[in-house]
Amino acid sequence: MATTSMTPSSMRSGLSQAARLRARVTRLVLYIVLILAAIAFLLPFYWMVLSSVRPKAEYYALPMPLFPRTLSLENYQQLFARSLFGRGLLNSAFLAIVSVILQVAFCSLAGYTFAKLRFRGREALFVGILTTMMIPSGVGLIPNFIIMARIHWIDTYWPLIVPGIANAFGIFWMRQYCLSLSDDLLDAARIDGAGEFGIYWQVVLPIITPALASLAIFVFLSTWNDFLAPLVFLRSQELFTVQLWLSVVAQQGEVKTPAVVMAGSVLASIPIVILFATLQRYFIAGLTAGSVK
Amino acid sequence: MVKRITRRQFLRLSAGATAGAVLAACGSEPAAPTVPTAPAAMGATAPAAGGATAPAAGGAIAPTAGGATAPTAAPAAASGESGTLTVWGFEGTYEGIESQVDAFTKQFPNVKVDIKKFGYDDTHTNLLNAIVAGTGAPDLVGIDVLRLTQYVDGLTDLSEQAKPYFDQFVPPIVSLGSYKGKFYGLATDSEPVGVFYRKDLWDQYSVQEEKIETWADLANASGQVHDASQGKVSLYAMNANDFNLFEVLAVEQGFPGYYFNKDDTQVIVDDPKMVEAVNALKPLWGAKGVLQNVNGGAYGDEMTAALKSGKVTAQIIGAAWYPSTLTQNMPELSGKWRLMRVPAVKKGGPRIGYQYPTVWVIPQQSTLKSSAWELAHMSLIGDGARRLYEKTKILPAYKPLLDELQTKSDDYFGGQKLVELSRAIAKDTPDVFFGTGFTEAQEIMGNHLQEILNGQKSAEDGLRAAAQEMREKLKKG
Amino acid sequence: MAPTAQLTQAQRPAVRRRERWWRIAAPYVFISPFYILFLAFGLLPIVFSLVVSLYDWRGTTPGGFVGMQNYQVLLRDPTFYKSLLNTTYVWIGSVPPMILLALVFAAILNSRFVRFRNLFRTVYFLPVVTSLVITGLVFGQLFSMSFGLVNSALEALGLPAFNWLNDPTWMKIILVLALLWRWTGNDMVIMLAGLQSIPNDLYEAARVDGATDVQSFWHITIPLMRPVILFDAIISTIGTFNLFAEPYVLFGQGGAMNQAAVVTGTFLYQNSFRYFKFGYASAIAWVLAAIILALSMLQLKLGSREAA
Repeated sequence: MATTSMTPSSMRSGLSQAARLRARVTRLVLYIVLILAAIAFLLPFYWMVLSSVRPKAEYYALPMPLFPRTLSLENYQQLFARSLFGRGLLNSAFLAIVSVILQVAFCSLAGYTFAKLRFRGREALFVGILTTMMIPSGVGLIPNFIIMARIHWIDTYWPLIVPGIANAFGIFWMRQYCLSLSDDLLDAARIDGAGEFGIYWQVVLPIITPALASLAIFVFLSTWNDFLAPLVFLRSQELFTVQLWLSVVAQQGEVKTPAVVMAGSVLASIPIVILFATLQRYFIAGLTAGSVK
Repeated sequence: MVKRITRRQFLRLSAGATAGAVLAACGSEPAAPTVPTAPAAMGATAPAAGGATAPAAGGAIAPTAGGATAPTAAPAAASGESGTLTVWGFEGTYEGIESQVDAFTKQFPNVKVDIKKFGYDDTHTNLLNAIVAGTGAPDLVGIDVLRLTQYVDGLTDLSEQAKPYFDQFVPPIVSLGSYKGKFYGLATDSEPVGVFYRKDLWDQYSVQEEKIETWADLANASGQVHDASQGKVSLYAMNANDFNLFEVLAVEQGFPGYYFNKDDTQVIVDDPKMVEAVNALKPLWGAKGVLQNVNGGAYGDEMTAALKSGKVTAQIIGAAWYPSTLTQNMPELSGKWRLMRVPAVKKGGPRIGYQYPTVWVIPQQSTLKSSAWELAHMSLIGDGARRLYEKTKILPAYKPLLDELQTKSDDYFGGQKLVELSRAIAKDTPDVFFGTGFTEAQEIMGNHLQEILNGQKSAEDGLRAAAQEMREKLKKG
Repeated sequence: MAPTAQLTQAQRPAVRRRERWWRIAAPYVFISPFYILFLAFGLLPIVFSLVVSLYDWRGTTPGGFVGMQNYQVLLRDPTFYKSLLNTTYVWIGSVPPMILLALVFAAILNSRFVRFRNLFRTVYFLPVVTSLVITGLVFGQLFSMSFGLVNSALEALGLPAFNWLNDPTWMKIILVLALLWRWTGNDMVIMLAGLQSIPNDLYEAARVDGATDVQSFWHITIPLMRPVILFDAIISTIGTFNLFAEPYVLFGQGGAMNQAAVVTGTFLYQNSFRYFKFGYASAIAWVLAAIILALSMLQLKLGSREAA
């Protein structure tokens, strides 16, 4: 953040004009690179928003102008006419919040256990979880569906919530973070007579809040963006999530109208962007802390 | 470290494999179509026509009493059923059922209709999942006929119910809804293939419908249009992997099974007549001015843009849905379009083609089979058929309605009697059908066709390779 | 604390035994909810699919037991090899560049030259919050023949439009670009975290010795970041082989243009949900799993050998 290095005056006179100029040029070049990259990263968003506000009448007026001529909300209106998108937003939010609570709870407990508690088979059990991460996820879909169908969980939210609790990545993440917890602290708590669960609840949880927060955001994100599970397990439109609606709307229409889907994409992204912008502090802090060995 | 884990994993896998084998055995139950649904459950009235329901076919329904001419079938047969009738459909199919619900509910007050709408792909995937899992299938579902064979083990044989109505539908409907002697679903529409073209543009560039008799003529005309418009306008568009176009020629060459023989046991794409067909396609691809590889297909926004701006003047496609696509998306072009037959491979040869209607099928899991049948055939016959047509404007397969419609002239098509021509094309079409593995065959064909059209392989070699791949993957001769 | 002190002499051993029993059992109890669910919905389906891969399951019937036949057909399947080749191209185009870009940008954002770190970080991370479906849709739109930003820009400059989405080479490039856009921010943040754990003294010492920033980067940063880079490489490789949503949305299940853009993920999906060939699809999944496992081991071995 400091723009010039803090050197004592005696040394500063040693910095030649050339060196200072070089520093300034480097800074300029770096800024240019960063800004160009930022533009490249934002460009798709720009096009997404632009496509969504272009009125249908202008859609076939080719070639497409780079800047909007007229703005219109008809694509958004179409979106709501063709789908229960508002309901979808609520459904997605509900699923995401529930998943966050459950996954963070169970994964933190299990992750802590794998990290800090000693028990037989610990290594093997953990590696078993890890290796299954390598198997393409599409494989288990049909068998899972059969199971869900047999227990009558189709067209409910249960298949979208319950299996997710066994989140291998979540456990890996929490274990990684908990490895850095101080053993002495935990032993001290044990000597004081605290039960194992009590240690987890009262000692560990407060310390690992950054990891919890970042896992929460990560789970929220992946649940919100999940598209395959709702597709396979849901039937009634009232239960559809936002991503599912995007896929449905994209398949609708005698002629495909991407503009309407773009409108949906914008709406589906906004909540996440807001969430991230406000909470990024925790997220990045959590990532930082977790990766430091 | 690694070795130790693998051993433990193996043990766990063996244990799991046993469990898995047990589960697999459980999972195979629904597939075996042996459970006959008790005839008593549906239709309390004495099955007057044709005696006892034959359970051997896997839960056939009690036939409605003698419904040869009377379109509104005897309601008494199904009044015994009550409950919620679940219908699944994708866009273009469920509207037909929606338009019948009022009339249906009046006749069958005990049955409530619940329509679930999905995307095209999702409908098919969900149906498959439900049949495999043995539960969760709807009572009535509209599926694309080219996927029919993927589901037959889980569908009800409707031969008894539908037979009295067979002669009321244009012929291909019966064969394409059947498989190995059983009938599974009536089609909502009929899709003969023709060439839709812009008369105004053809006049401008001196292209005449009467002069285009063979595919070679079409290719030549493309060059003509290209030169006359200084490269700005293409006569038609084509994809390198255009299996749809290939299928049109397949039918013209006398293969109603498209890729397969009549028994659906053999792959026939390497037949000399197919080589002839592909050699007829080559000049179409290489013609001057053809618009190649438009993204998104005929219903995509790219093609619509090209058509609207007059960049492309013709479209070779099924005549069931396309007219309404045109009227809805290009109302400003009203009066400028016409329909003609597809060209022939050789002069004087057949000028026919047939694409893929949707069929209404009833899964075996359904407990409301009679009601489902009533609802389905209500939408396809008599007043119901007319209601369907009013709502969707899709070319029907029901003859009485076609008789009525074919006298009407279409303003959008400059006064041409569209239905009359479409019907004539359908009449000439042989009994087409779609065998097992059809979707996969299409993709395989598309890949090899691309290699042939791009000059990487000769027609013979390409077709032979395609046939070989199909034989291995589809387990046919 | 208090409780044990109030117990009688007789009770204490029993309590201690209970406590000891609980201390042994607790870990298993804590992980059991996870493990039960994992076995039911994670492991069981996977093992089930292994069994299914030995059957001729097409459509709705399990069909007969065919042993290794599915695997044999698979190893003769030209589409499978095409998908492997395409996946390799995508890997080459996305994994090493992404790691490099992520590292370089993280280094820049970490350096003493730059202000507004948080702002840039947010911008670069933003694509990660979009869903994969949206990513595919947006990039499909960007490169659309008539409706895309790229062609509009080209035409504004007087250049001809190009059919990006149907060109065999460009299809892969577009997919790679979509992946880079979507995932670099994620990698970058991880790299940033790793960078911040490198003590500043090392850089100071190097600077005193006269090293340039580039030299420091090469000789200090990269070696010390090896564990993070390795982790990233393994996860990204697994991700590339599982890649499904973006190519599916961009190019559809069919795999246009003679499957110029079919990757292993779409190949698997195609066989399960379009052709309904579950026996075959399960075999594909297991072969892919074997490949992924082998690659991961390879990367681990390479990574640790260099460290030694």
